[in-house]
Amino acid sequence: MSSAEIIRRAVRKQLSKHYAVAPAPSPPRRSRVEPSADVDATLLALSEQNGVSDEQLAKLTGWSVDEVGERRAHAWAKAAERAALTGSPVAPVSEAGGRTDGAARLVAGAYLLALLSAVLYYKSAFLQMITVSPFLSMYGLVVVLYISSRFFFSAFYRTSKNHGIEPHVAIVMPGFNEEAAIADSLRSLLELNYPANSLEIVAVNDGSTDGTLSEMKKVAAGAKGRVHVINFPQNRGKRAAMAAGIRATEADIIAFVDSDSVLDRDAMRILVQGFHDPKVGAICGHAEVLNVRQNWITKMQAVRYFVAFSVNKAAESVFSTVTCCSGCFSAYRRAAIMPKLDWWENQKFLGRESTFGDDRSLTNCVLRNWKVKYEARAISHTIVPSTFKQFMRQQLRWKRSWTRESLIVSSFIWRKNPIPAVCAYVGILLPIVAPVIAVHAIVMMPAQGGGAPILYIMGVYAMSLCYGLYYAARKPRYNHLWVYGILFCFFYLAFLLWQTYWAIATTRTPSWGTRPSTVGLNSAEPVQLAS
Amino acid sequence: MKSFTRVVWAKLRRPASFMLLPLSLVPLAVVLPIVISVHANYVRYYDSPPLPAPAVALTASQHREFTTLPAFTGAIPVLVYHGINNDRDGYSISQRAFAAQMEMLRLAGFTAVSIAQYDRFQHGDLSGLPSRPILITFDDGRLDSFRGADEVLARDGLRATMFVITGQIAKKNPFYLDWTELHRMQRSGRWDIQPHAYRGHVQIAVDARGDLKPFYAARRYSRTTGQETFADYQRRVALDLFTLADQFRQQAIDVHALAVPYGDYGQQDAGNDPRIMPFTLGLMRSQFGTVFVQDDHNDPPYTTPTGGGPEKRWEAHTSTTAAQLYAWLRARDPAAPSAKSGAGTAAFTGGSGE
Repeated sequence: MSSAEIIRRAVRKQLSKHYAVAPAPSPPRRSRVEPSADVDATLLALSEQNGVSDEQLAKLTGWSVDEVGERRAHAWAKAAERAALTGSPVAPVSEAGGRTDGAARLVAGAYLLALLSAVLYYKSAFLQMITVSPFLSMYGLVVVLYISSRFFFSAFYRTSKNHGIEPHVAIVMPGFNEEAAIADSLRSLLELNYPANSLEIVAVNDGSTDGTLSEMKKVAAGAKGRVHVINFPQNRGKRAAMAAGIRATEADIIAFVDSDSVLDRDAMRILVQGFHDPKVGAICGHAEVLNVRQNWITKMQAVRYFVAFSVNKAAESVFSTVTCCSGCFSAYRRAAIMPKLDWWENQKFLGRESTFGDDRSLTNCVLRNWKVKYEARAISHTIVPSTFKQFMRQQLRWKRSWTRESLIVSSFIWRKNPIPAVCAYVGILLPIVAPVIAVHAIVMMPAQGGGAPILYIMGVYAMSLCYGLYYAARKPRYNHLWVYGILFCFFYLAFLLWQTYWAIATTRTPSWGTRPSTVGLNSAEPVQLAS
Repeated sequence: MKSFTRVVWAKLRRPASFMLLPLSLVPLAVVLPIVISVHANYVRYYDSPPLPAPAVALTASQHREFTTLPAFTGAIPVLVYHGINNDRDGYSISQRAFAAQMEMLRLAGFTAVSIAQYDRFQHGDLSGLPSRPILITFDDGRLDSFRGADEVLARDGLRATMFVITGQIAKKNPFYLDWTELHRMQRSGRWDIQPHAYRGHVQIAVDARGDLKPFYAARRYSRTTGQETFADYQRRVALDLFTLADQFRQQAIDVHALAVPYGDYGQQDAGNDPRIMPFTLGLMRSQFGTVFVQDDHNDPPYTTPTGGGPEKRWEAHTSTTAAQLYAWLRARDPAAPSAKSGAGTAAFTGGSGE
């Protein structure tokens, strides 16, 4: 089975769990579940009220027992959130995780705090090094302070209050040769828990050569005018498609959802609450990895996404300066993007048109004059690359747009609050310096008789452990996936770190590297991890 | 079979996932000792330059008190310090107290002599001796001694002799000065480097009760082999001392003296064998020259030429003040008319130390 096929099936499976769009045959026993009910309610009903065990549920759904547990935990969290948002009571039948989960999470959390303190203590014990080898020791100190500051500031992050606002939202979804998945994606958006007269969908066919247009039209025909289809006879690129979609609607809020992402039913309603503050220009939703169980590459990314959103974006959000509203799921105030729309659509970098990195670029347009927030409760589930090659290409692309947009951010972020400004500059500098330090620690020092780079490796390990433990502590149900956070950091050290200079050197390149098969690859960058 | 393993794995999966938390500590625990030693070396390496000499503010009455002593000939007082820090461990003194004592020596008119000159003095050659000579020594070759003393000695125009434990240098123990530093000290002209011990600066068990005595001072006892024979004792001590002498030859440092660890070469309670003292003392004198020890009551007279000692040194303790040192120097000054034996011990009595 090709990986595209695996992904397609994963999307269908996920969609079929969430929404009534599954034509796939389901086991007979499942028919007693209300077919249009969302998976959360279904699981709760099955496991709590009907006394169905996790093992039985696993048989019914085809998930692993672990996954059932996780989803059940997730369902409870969702139910609680919904209750908080709508004011309706939720029966607290049981905690999200069991008692052992609570204990394990507590241990992980305490362990994380202890580790962070230990690393800070270690750094302070070697503080005098700065006078001896200023470059190296400053780097280490800055990395530690930067990472700790992310954790520190994210602790002050609060989700926005429920103001009960339901502004007019238009979801713009461009599609290029996505015949197989586009209809499901569009239908899932129609199913969102949001007033029908306030939610419209603009589907833009960017000159597809397959049946994407007809699929779009098919959905539009059954949507009582809520889906508008714009057609480009020729492929003009994602940005042009998005811009056309934006121009075609009068909605106050423009939302973007990746064709590879699936939203929780309440995600949109939660996301727009932040726009109650008139100064907020854009809000980024939270992205979870949908194909997390697929293989080790997706598992690594699951931890990475979680940390990138829950720590890094949350920390940025405290100062209303989120630097990248991920293309997976985010929303913009129309008034914030319209003045810059033409510029953005035709953005040039060093004389060449910028194609990829549309999300980061658009965020930058808004960030200059508006607040940009992150909303942790508005959750999308996105498909991430599952092969080494795809993953590497995606990362290279992100790095290229990161290079370009970092230059732009640097030009104005200093006018904002000094704390996020300093953090932003440090965040830009670190990935540039990191490869030099790594070469110095791993190659030069041992060559000069400085011994094995044990302390450097341990530094990476401690950092990765922090990320992993954070994942373990925050997820409602404890699971072993956090270990992949450690794996990711070493993967980063082994492969991704070295892309930086290549990406900088080739920033101008317009190639997506992956088009036209964008499946599983246009999920946008959550945020760069410092290393 | 396959299904059995699957069943077992299904049962173990979750406990195993919890075990990942403690397991993740293993690499940290493995590296912790490395981090600690790296840190010790780091502190050692970057905290090795001498400390600035602290300001010494002697009161007017002290200035009046520390008058220049009468000049004397034919005798040299010898001082011994162990470490300069704020530990108050009995033997280390603070840098401030050390500086006050050195300032007092300057006011009292003393001039510090080198170990080479002292060696000539020991063999009866008094030529070139200043009018009030003194020998300042440090035992153990500790880094903190050098750091605390160097700038103070420089300020008061004094010099000192450092007795080093070469076994600790070989172990790269960061608490002690290494050869590079010792050579640098010697080149500065402010320091002489002399031997203290190789591996012999330890206490060993000497009987079945577990009583301890210095390495050079008694026949060793071990549970498996019992009391070592005198021949074995001779071999052990001679090997250590010959190695020590050889290391100084390798370092091309002239040897004139040996400070005996714990001041005990078997004379105290006759070790545990009457043959020890004559053997060991003879060996030490033949190999190194003058042998230095401490005094039981810490009130030794000034040393006189005896051709190799053992010579007793006045020992500084944590609580020693400049006034006490002055009192001893004055009381023992052979040229002072009022010199009375024991006058300096009124304020303090200390046993001979390490």
